[in-house]
Amino acid sequence: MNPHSTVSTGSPWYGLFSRGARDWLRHNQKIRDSVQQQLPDLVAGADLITGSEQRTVHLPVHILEHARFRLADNPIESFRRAGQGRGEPGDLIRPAGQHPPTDEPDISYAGDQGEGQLQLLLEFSVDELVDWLWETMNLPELRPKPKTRLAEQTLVREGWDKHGARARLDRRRTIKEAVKRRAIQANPVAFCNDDLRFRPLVHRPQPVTHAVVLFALDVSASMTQAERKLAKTFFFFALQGLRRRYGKVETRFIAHTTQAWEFSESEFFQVTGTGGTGASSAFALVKQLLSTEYPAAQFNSYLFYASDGENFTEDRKAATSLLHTLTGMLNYVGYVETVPGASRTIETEMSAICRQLQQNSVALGCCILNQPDDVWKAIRQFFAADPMQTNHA
Amino acid sequence: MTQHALLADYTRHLEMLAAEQGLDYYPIDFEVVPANFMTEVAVYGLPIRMPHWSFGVRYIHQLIRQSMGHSRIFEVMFLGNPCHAYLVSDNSIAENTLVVAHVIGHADFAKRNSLFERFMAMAGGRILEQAAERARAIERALIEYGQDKVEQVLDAALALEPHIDIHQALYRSA
Repeated sequence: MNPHSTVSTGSPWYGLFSRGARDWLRHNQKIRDSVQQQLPDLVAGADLITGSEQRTVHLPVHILEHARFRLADNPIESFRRAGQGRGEPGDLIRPAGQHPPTDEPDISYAGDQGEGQLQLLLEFSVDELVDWLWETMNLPELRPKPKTRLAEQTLVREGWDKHGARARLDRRRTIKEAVKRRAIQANPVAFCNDDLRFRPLVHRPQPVTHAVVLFALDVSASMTQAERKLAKTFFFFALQGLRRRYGKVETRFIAHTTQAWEFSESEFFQVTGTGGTGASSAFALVKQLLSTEYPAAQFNSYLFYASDGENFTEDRKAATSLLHTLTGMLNYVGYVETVPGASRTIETEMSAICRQLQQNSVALGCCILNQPDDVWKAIRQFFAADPMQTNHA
Repeated sequence: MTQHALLADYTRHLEMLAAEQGLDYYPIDFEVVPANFMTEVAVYGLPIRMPHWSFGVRYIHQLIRQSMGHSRIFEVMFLGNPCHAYLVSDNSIAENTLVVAHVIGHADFAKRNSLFERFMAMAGGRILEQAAERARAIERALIEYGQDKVEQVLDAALALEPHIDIHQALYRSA
């Protein structure tokens, strides 16, 4: 009548199990994947571009939960399908991925979340986010021009010396020397001049790793908000990519209509001009900046130009010749044409100029952006092809 | 006497006491396991279960609550014939003895429970072993079809889980 229960110790391997940790990592991977997909939207914020590298982005992320059935947000609409007699396999009750319309249902949404949905506030540094992206792209490095590998003198800490400036005293090492001496002397003094050790500074040449990136944007009346957002997203990722290659990156922002002005970053994307487009004005300003402030011997320079492609026909000759001069001064020129929505079939004025220049084998890339996803396509196109080879070809 | 032998001895005594009280239950296999394994058993709901990201979320919750002192696991028990019960090796002998007595009470309650009785009749007493075999089948599927596809199926299945009618037969035709 008495059942015989047993007591045993579990398998010695139990201590090694880590299934929970494995599944937690998988959960995090899923979250990271979705963050990565949303990234173009994240950089829509105003002044992400020139911010310091230490800045972080706070991302409210839901902890993933099991999918579950819930009542429809808008019952009247969904009555059409459900509860109308027997269903057939393949009946569509409600199309998936249909979000509530953006206006007021958002508020009830927010209320929902307040009521106890778990939110994870993930903190990513801007750097980290972009690191992922550039990692996954496996891009070859953009190499600086050989002639710009000028040896620049920098001071580095190197070696030891018994004499030196007081400020360079290495106290730890000095005390070690004193301890050693005291150990072998009969009546030692605490410190003497022989114990002192200094870490001198010496001049060493260092290759130049400065870069300047010039962003030029067409702000004429034809550039709408959507076009600018595309341009901005592209500028952001191009800049971040270059920051990964060079120790110090300076940025200049130029906007143009028929004239060109330089702006600070925060103003740059707010600027709206009226009137027509004369790209040569921007190119002239770029040329002026380069020759006065950024000597080619010390800077790797890049120009990224975004426009909707329209340009005055009268400006064509001036723009072509200036752009041609610039390609000689710059490491690389990238031109993006922002055409939100459907792709255009007719070749625009600017792409005609670019195509003409490309035939002369200059380091110039050209890409058309229709939607945020194209930004990556453009970056891949610009940076994956080695511009040096194009230059020498 | 080692801790383990001591616990076995106490268990025998407790069973005699249970018999005196007229408790009726299937024999119980007690296993003394390390704390991290115990956490996993509690979170996964089964000693061996399929991998799924949702368990990872619960695992971290449990781990955090434990480390903050808000939660401590004493026993996990699975009904069947025999029943299985897990004890944590780090817990003191007094605590584990108390848990053994408590589990015997559970076992008695379960054997007299009509829901349990009905499922025992349909599924047999070795549910844990069957569940483990299913978990292994899912592991094999992971290797064969890849994580994304298997996860899609599991996500859908887990969404249906709360809607299963437990009053119907265990095996039903579609």
